[in-house]
Amino acid sequence: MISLYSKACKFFNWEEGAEPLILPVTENPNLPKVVAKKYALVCDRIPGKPSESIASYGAILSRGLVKSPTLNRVIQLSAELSYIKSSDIVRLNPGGGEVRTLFRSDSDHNSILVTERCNSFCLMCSQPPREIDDSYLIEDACEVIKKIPRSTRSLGITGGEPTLLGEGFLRIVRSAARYLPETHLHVLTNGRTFSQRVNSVALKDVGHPNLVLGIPLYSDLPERHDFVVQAAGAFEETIRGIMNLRRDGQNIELRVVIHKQTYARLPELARFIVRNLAFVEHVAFMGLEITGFTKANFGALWIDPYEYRSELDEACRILQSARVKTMLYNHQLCILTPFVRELSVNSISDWKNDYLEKCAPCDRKNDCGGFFSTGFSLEKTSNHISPFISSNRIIPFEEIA
Amino acid sequence: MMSEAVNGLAKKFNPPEHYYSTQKQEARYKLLPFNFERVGDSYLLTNEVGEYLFLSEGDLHSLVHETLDSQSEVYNSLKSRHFLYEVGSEAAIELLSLKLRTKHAVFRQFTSLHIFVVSLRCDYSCPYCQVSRQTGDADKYDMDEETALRSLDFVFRTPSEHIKIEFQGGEPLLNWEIIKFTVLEAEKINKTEKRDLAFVIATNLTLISDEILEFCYQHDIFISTSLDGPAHIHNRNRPRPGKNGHQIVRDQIERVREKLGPDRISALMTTSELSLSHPREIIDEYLDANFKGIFLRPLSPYGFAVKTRQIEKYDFDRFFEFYQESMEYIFEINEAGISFVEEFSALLLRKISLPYPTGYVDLQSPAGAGISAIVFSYDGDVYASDESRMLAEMGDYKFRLGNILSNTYEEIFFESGLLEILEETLTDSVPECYQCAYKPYCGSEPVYHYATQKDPVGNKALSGFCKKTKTITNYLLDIMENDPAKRKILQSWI
Amino acid sequence: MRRIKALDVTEAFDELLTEINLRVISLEALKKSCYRFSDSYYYNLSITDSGKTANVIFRVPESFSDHDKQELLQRFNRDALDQELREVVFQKTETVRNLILMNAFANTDLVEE
Repeated sequence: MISLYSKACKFFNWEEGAEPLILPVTENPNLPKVVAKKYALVCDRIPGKPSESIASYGAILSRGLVKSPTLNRVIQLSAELSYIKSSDIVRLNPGGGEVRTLFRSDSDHNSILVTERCNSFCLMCSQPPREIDDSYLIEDACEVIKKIPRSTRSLGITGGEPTLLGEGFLRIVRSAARYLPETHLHVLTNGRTFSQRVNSVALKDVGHPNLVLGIPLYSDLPERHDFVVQAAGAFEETIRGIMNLRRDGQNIELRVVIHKQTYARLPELARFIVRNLAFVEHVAFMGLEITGFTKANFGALWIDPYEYRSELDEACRILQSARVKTMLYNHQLCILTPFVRELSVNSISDWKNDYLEKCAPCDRKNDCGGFFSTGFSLEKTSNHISPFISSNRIIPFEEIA
Repeated sequence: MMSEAVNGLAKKFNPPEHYYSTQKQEARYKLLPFNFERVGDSYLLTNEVGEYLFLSEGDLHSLVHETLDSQSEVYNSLKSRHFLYEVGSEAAIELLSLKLRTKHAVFRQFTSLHIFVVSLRCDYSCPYCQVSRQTGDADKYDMDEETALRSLDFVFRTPSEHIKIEFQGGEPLLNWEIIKFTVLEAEKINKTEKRDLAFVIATNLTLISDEILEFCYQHDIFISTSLDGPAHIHNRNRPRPGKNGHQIVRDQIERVREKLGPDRISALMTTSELSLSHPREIIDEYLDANFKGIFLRPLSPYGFAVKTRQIEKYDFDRFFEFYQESMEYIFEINEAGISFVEEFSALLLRKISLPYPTGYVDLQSPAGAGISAIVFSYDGDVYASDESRMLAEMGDYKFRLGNILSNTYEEIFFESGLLEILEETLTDSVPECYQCAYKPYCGSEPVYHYATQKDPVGNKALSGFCKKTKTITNYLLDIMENDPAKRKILQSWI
Repeated sequence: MRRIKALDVTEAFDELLTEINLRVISLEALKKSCYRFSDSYYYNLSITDSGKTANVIFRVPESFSDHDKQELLQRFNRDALDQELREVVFQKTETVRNLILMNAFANTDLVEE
């Protein structure tokens, strides 16, 4: 698992009261001075006699031990951040002694957190809301977007609930539309603010050419959905939001986290989606990440995924027969029915991915998403995990279906 | 399930009961529009957009009298499928409106299927022929270039993005020159029109040549042919001088596949008296011929079928026996791992399960006659459907809309009386249909009812078409509800 | 109060009379039920002088046993009750049905497929 944040880095020779700054990273020590000051230089160690040009860099990051550097604005990276390399983007906070990776060029799953505030309170929230003023994140988001390479294939916007930022949210989307027009922008939102048509129109007017809104829906029954997201009226608002967004031409993905409170009516939800929301781009079924609120509500949420394999199978059949694109994330292949296995995507964000010891000999490890490594996700797994070993695997009759 | 306490919730989280609406706790809800029909011991409920649910008699009465228990599973299903709504839930009404609009969107496309009857001549003499073919080499039964051109002008007047031109007869290949001519002209026009243009030739395959196949390959033309079953059935149904029609068809199907690709040819079967006793053999024939499915349909009451009394020989009940036996066998085949589809069932299932219109013109209200499909006859007469032309052959011109050489597009649609008939036969407005539970899965079929009852509306109690929709829908819904293994197979056909 | 009577007549057909209370089943519903049975039986529908009941006379084959007649009347009554229920549903949903139709076909900017 890759860490994106550290408070264990050592800061050397920074100005008193220096503000946090966001810099793209480079490994090239020979950039012209004018350009160098906009970059953070990363190196294995600080050279004994640093050249003049090195001193021009906005910050100097060392993977190795730093002792009494003569240069200014030096940081000794903690071991967990030593992966930082060219084209990554970092946020440096000398005041708090913090380094955060905002963008990793190696990753297909970069995401910008734009607020921790939320108007829902989902039982299984992996990013529990905090009611604080984190409006500085809007500026940060716009800044980092300006620095992200244009060739980046996709970028996520997450929270909390990003649309709570109102105009700030639109600014962020607009930045992405202007600076990264070819980058696929994936916004995670509960859609509730779009129940007011004016908000949907405003988003349309920003004109992002490549935008998908990922909206969670947990039940076909309003009260069940409202219970899972702990907000009365949420279902109603989300549905009306989706309809407004459709009127204004937006692409929508529906996301369903499967756990003890949502698995039982999964086929009914699938049927509801086919009848009412078949225009969505696709439906994403997701596994439970055992972190954040999930830990607190564990007893109410945990169910061995093997136990809901037939509800999931039926739901997928219903969606597939209506040609609603369906994908399954964060489930291990061995606990799925063959029909559902075809829909499984190897996709836990690469910074969260891991396997069990017993998975070592499995033939299909490369196709399988493995497990979340956050929280207790590796300790609490299905009782039915078993590797695929072609040489001695006897396929049970029920699986030939 | 709702009243079960949820264990394991941390303190700051509310239990499910917190989110029941207050109206729900007082058990107040309102009905949304629906129809129902008794099926066996229970009731089938459907609504305007095709959602369905089976209910007991007691639950139905409770529902209507607004005393249904809001904690029950039945209540939840009814709410989710939009048979009732809770006050304050405008989303349900918005969703219903959108669904209704979606289902009707197909009508804005207007006419998409255009049938060109390029010749009435035919080298076969099938007793059940709907087409009433003329024998011999009489050129007065062939379409000429002027008629074809004027018909094409008409075709491109349609607003539809998708245009399918289907060549029929008699045997259309007897007038191959006009087919070639029409295809080339249509493509010329389409250079500016830029529609999605598709061609089909419905032929018995005896006259297929390399030249014809080459042309079909170059112009992406699909072939549709007739295969009624194994030799003894096919040749009896479709007699031909020389008596080897079956072998020809089988050989030529392979030839067409080699030249055009395996997916470019499809087959239709016609059910005759003889067919009824041989469901498995007929399906085996289709399997042997490497088809991926079959379309089972009863004999239509038109053309030679009436003259030769075929239509009186069996009624729908006997067809339904045949259908059931066929389906049993088809399920066995699918369970053995071979995908083989019954096309009519698949169509009906799509109508039942999907929110989109299916575009099957025979199951539509307003009827597809004219507004979804139209026929240009060899002599320039324009008809609302295949069947309408059959009626004319029998001397009844009720559904003849005009002539392409002497009438304009506007005259044909607005002055022929077609639109009046379509309006008068809307299932939403006619007795029996307007409150029928099967309405969302059915159509109005004015030509059929006119042919059988001399009334485009028809007394549905006497209608074989009505009986077909109801019976087969019940058959399919029974499987969907009660037979999980077969349900999976049906789902894969949708 | 419903009376079920079978009248013997000298023709080749039997007649089966049932009397319907128009407060239980409306005339509309009754007419529709009769229409449904018209594929199998001729019938005669009339309103009694009091105006409170209606008579339906079915013409049934002579070969009909008492059991057959009972079964027919049961089916007819059940169907008539169903029809009456349909009328109730129709009335209760008329307003919302119009609302849905209006929304569906108004020239708003619902996005098309």
